[in-house]
Amino acid sequence: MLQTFIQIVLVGLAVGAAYALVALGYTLIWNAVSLVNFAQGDLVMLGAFVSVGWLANRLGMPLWLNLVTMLVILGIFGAALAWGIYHPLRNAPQLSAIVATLGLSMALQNIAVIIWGPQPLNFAGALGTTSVHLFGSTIYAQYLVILAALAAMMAIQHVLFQHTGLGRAMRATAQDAEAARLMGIPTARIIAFIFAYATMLAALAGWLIAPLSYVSSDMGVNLSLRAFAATILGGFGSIPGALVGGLAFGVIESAGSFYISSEYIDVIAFGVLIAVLMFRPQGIFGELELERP
Amino acid sequence: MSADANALTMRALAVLVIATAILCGLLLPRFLSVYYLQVADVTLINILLVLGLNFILGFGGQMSLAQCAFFGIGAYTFTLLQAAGMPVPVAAVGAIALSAAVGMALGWPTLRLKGHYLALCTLAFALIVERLLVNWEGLTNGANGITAIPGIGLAGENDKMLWVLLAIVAIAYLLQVWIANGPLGLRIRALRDDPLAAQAVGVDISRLKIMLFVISAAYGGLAGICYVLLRGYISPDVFSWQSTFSYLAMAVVGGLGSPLGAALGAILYTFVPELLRFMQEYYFAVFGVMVILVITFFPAGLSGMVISVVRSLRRREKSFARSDVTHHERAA
Repeated sequence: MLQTFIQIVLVGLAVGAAYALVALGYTLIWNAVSLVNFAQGDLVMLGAFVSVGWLANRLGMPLWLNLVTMLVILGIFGAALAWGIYHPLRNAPQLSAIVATLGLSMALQNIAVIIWGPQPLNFAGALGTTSVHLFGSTIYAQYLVILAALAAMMAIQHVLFQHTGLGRAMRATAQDAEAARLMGIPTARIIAFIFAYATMLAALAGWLIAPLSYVSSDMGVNLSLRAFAATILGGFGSIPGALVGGLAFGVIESAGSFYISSEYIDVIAFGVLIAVLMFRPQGIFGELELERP
Repeated sequence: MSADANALTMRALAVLVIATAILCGLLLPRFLSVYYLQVADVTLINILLVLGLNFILGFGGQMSLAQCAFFGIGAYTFTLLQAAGMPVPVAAVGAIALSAAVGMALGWPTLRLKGHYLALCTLAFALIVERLLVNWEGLTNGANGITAIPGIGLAGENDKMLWVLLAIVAIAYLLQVWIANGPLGLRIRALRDDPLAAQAVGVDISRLKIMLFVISAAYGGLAGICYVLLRGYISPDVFSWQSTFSYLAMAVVGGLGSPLGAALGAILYTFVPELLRFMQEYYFAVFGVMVILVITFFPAGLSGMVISVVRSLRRREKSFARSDVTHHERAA
């Protein structure tokens, strides 16, 4: 009974950690340029495909080199998105930007099929389907890797944001891009950095969950939707909100599918989300972005 | 004076739309194979869906991603009512009414939400509807869907269905133009362009938003009925929440807030890839890139391009006749 509960919470937290990584990407980009990149989930997919389809299967790279190379490639790709998509649309209405990222999502999914074929790929990762026993319950070791990776990313991000010049410039740009530009910060380049970093977070999530599922062109869609929900649950624009929202959404899903119904899990999870939007639209930590009824 | 002018252009447009519909009805079966005729029918249903999306998104500027849910609700309600022994017209009215009612039920609590919040809320709703269609097996027969739906007995008869769909789409198109050009359309555009100012001059924006949800949902429900009539069977994957993005892409590439855009976008998205079969696996990648390029370079979409070309042609004609007003018109 207790073991089951621990197992549900651990799995929920681990899955939620993947949501949190993607949600952090949403949040950082949102803070910097008030854009939600609906293709964030497809960056998850792209990261997994580059890592598995090219670096692992084609080149046979060792795992650590694979991860680093993949993150570099996706980082460059993210910076290119800032120049190619965000930059031309920076003064366009919000709707245009949303639809442009939806177009990007459609393009990336279909390009992935063209490059890597319609068949899903397998990826063993470091641990494959190794299980570990913890507090009397059994879970995949990969879940613990995901949790550890989230913790490590948080530590790295803390150091980056608080103790480096680049991080300070990123924070300044996120807080008030116009003022930052006037203070001599090259905001366009910093925004490209933020896009690159957000893309790397998404790609890392893809790399982490790949061993637990297939790598397929539509793997990012569900993840991004949940991460988006987590972002709103935590509160748009709040970094702790993205973390807590992601983990909470993971646990809600995991517990809901065990205790209530696995078939109706989406109905429950998104029903909860709609309820949250009704009664506390600013989420757990967020600020209000509302209209008078 | 201007109302007269509006009435006149409305009449001219009605003639034009009906003529186009009749022309399509006469010519398409002559030139298209059975398969492509069915694609043409599906294109018409997509036009209907995008017209519906146009109300809320194009005219109202409200980011709704729930169109596929109303599509599904319309189709399933029609099917189930018919299975329960109702005659076709009653089932159709019931299906549209339920779609509209659900639209109202969604519109009312989401009044306070905007932008990404509204987008996610409507998307979550669409996802819930899809899950219910898959999992509520007692009602919907689950993932297997429902087959052998009698409809009006034209399922599979693509040439006859073409006429039915052309008639429905022509009416839906003209209704949209009529609403958009009328006083209601004025208020809707005021809501999109400046909700605060609209409210200040006495527009009840809450009621207006709910009305947009209702009309939009009714169009979606109608499209659902059309789908049942065309195919004679339904399954949940047709009404997947992900297809909302396709309708959105059609609406935007065609041109938001323009009925002509809805038609152009749906044709481009549905029909062209079938003709370009040789590049089909590339088509949707290309289409995705095209969405981005259109948004970036032609925010008014294809219809905006068509309209500006027509206008510049007309201007040139006029400039031959009365060269003195050209400058003034160009300034306007």
